[in-house]
Amino acid sequence: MDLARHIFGTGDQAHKDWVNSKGLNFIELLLIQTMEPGNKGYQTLADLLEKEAEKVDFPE
Amino acid sequence: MKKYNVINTPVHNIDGIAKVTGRARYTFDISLPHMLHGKILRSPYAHAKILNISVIKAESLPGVKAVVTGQDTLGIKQGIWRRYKELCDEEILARDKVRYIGEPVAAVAAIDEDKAEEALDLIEVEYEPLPAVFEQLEAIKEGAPLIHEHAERNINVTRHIEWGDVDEAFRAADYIREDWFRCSSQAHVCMETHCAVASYTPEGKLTVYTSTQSHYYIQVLLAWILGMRENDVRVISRYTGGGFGSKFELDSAQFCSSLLSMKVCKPVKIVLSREEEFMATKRRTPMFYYLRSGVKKDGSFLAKEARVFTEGGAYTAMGATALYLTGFFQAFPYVWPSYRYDGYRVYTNTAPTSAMRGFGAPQAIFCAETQIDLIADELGIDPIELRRKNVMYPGYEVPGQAYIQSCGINQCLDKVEEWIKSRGELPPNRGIGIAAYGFMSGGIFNWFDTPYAFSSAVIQINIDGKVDLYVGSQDMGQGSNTTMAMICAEELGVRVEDIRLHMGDTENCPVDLGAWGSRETLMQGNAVKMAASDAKRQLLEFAAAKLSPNIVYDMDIKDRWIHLIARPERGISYFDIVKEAIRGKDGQPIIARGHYTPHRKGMISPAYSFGVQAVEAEVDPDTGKISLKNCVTAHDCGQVINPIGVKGQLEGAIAMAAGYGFTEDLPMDEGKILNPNLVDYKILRTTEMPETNVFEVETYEPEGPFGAKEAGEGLTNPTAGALGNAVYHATGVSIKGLPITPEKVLAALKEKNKKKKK
Amino acid sequence: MEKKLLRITVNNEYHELYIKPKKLLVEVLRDELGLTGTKRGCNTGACHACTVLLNGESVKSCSVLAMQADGAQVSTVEGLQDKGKLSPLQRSFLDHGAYQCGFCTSGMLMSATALLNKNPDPTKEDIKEGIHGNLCRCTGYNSIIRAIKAVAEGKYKEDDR
Repeated sequence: MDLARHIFGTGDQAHKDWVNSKGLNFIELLLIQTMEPGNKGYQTLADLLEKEAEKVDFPE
Repeated sequence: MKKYNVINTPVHNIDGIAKVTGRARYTFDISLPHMLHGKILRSPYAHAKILNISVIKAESLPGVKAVVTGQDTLGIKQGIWRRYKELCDEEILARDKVRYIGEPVAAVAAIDEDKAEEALDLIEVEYEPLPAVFEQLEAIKEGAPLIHEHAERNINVTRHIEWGDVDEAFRAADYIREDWFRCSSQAHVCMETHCAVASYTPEGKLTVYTSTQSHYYIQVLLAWILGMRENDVRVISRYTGGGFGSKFELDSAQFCSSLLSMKVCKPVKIVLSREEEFMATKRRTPMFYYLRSGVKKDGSFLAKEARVFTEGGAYTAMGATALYLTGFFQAFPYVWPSYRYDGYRVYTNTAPTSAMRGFGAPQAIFCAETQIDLIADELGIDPIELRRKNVMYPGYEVPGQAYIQSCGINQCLDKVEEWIKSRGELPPNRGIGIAAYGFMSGGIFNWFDTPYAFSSAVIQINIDGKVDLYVGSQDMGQGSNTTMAMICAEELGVRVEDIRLHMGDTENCPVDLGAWGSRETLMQGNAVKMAASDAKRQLLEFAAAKLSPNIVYDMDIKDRWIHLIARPERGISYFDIVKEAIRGKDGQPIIARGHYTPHRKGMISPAYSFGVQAVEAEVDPDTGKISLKNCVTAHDCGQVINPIGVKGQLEGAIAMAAGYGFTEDLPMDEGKILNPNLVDYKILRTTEMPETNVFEVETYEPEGPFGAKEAGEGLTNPTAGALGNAVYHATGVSIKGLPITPEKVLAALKEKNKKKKK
Repeated sequence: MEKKLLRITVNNEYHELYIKPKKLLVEVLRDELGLTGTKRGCNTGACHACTVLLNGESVKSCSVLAMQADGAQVSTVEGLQDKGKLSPLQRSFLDHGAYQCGFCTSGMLMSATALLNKNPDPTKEDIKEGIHGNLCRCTGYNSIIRAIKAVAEGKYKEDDR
């Protein structure tokens, strides 16, 4: 969730491209976050990030 | 507080006699020999390709002397944000595509207005209409019509402001609330519409008389778009009949009249009709606003998050600045330990949205102050107490953004609280609402990308003691001419009637960026003070020889008397020293210079004004109609320079901002403005103005001339918010969409009563 | 279109002009007689910036055909001062700062003149009603109302200078 907030917060092209490349849409998430009560936009992104994190191999 | 000879005394406006005798000649009044009259053909479509324009029939109409279209231009896309090429997106006279109803596609010059109108009907334009989109949240959707090729999802500009750890702070909050707001557009409604008289002569020089807030910007933008040398273009604007933010960008009257004049080498006058003024000039930026605030249960502010989508209209204009400022002033005038703002300006097929008095701050303050009263209610804290707990203070640093030096907001709160208490119990259906604000005194960021100092002044003292003061500032009614004369007179030690002011002509005046963003008093004022100080120093050198004090700076000039400060009776007349000085300088008049550019003063402004306003309103529960009874303002503009001027600016600001709050709106249908006239577009009239009371809170702002800060624009910030809060306290309903109309009030009351019944 | 003879007295000066019959009074005053003090802020008679006195009555000169003023007495803002001596209203406007950009000022002064001619002792409400049609975007009206009230209260006698 923190990472999701950070990505929304910076909002620069690199972050936007990453989000968009993963099948979600940065602008759509932002619109959801702005227009609907609660934390839906952030939550959706947070869920994606959790899934992505599992894929990453950290070197030992 | 300090007593001055000239500053803060009641002085007649130096243009006063010209204005009350009808002798002030505005661009609207200018007539040149052999002058032609021009009219502009405008697009009836909100979004369309221009396939072909045929002007043959129009050109052949007897009396028509010239017709121009986009094909007669250099095809340069200009914009006022010169620093960023991608924001320079407006051709003014469209070439390939039109993007809003009212966009110019052709212009005609003829022997009189009627002939020019007739000729417009003979111009044949072949359009290919394109799908259009009118609202920012629609325009940003996937698949919406693309308005500018380079702008994906129609996103024009984005802005981000952040400090502190917002998410951490929200976790620590006892109470969080989210609110959504819709801020409307607003028309400037200057009494003098946009107009220009352009005269291109065989010498290859262009002179343009125009109603403007910045002759310098118009000069530079015209030269750019016409491919001319900057100083072969002369812009003259002695009197401007109102600006309010609508007249410092290049407009269709200026551009089309110049093009036409260049074609025939005759003067061409274009005056926009009131309908054109509503339809096709820039307007206040409408905003969709999301605010989330987190506070502790004792009322301490912890975290605020703002997301804004603005309706950009068809071009960037000054909308980029409004986008930033709304996010910046959203946090004013309070200490928010953490804050995050994301702003998006979205292109739409409507008339471009740009700058209007307040520049994004009235919208911000309306939303912020409405939410604060709701928070106060929820927590059971008095609205004044809640604000007092959190306001800024002198020496506060907005992290990474601004350094607040003078700040009198606490005293403002006290004064307003005193007044509210004195009202006692209110009659039925009445409520008092308050709003607090802070505003900039001129902007710092050089988005126009000018190499000049932001403001300059030149002084010449003549043998009879008359002082020629050359400034670049523009008086559009806010009174800068008088302010500059007063500052000069005070610093130099003479009287206002000794000053002869020169302004409004790029040929004779030094550069100043213009009257916008409340910059003239502070920036031009500082330049004038510096020049006057230099002139004084030169005179004192000669006085020293006569009076033989120990050191030069033991002397001063006050009310035409040069004297030793310690022994004021020992002195000599200013007039005598002027003669000495000129003789001493080989017969040359005394010349002095001054300039000002803010350096290292933060991101936004060198100084900030503050204030608190209370509005007492009565709401008719049966009709929802709102009636303003009282409006009390306590404000801090540092040192008041022109007291009559400040009072006038305050009352005018209230009228304009109250209009924004409850009577003015620009409803559109498919991009077409439905009320482009002064009957259906309702600005306040005499009978709607409340009683106004103002309390001056005097502070001293080190950045400003004699400690002065802005006054005219900050005062438009609070009224909509205060009005909204007054309605809330009178009726119990909080309206989150501007303007607050009777329909909205009634609907909200109905809703509330329904809920009560359940 | 055949031009017609217009005989009109403006600010106590008699003029004979040949004008097109559809010309508005405001156009004749501004374009033919060069009296540009009277302004226009709209085309729909809504703003009252063009107010002048026609035989003592305040009218919107943009809504009057010039020929309707044939043989009449017209007063414009230029006629308020007398050889450089300002009228009480003008002096009061100066003292109260009852103008900013100045574009509506001529209309305001003429409406105020008409009001005080009819009602020399108006209340504040009377004044608000009297200039209700005149739009001003700059001042918020209160300074104008104060200026007119001060004249009504006798603070600006004609012979004072």
